[in-house]
Amino acid sequence: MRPYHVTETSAVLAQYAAASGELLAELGRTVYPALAEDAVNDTGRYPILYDRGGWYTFRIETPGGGLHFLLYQAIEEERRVLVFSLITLREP
Amino acid sequence: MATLQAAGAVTPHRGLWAKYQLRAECSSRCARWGHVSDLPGIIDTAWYARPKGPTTMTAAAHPAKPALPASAAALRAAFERTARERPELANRLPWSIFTDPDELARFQRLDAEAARVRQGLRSGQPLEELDLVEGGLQRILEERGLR
Repeated sequence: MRPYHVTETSAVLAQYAAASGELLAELGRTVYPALAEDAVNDTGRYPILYDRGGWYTFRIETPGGGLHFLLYQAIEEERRVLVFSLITLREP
Repeated sequence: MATLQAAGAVTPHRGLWAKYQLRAECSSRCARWGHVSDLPGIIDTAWYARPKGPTTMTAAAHPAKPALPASAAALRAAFERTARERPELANRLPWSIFTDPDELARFQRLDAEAARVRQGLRSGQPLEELDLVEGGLQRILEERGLR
């Protein structure tokens, strides 16, 4: 199966630029590989939830106690992920 | 009566005259079914248990919950799941963002942006015209010395 290509809006990149190193490392180490492999969570292995309207959420918990949600959409036929927002509930 | 209404057999009526219309309507329909032995009693019970007052007052007493933007609904579903799976986090989740007008406006903008981007991709617009970037995280990781 082809991997998903993750694409961000410039607004999300601005959020990433202001994010903690711990969160960024988590995004690079676990979240993005999971999105590339199974953005719509067909396997059920990831904390990904799909709701109506085409929106998916990925819950990110960092080792330091951070809690964040990635809000994205997936276009399965194009194997593309569109990341629209990062919601941080608890730092780091 | 509820069964009759659920089956779409009768229509709820309001107004004093409607009781007799209801009786007549049920009589003609139930006569064919042949298993309703206490039709007048059923109708009277339903009639006295009916919602009182004009429809407009009922609607004002129970206003319809406004629909959330789809992005907000998705996030709220994620909050609800998190609260179920991690009860210790339930009270720390900012549930108020689903009622705060500024936050709701932000979610509406997200919905509109997603629709615009998807439409643009469907019509073959290049990523940069749609304000999309590929490999942005990798670049930031490298800039921060995290990769």
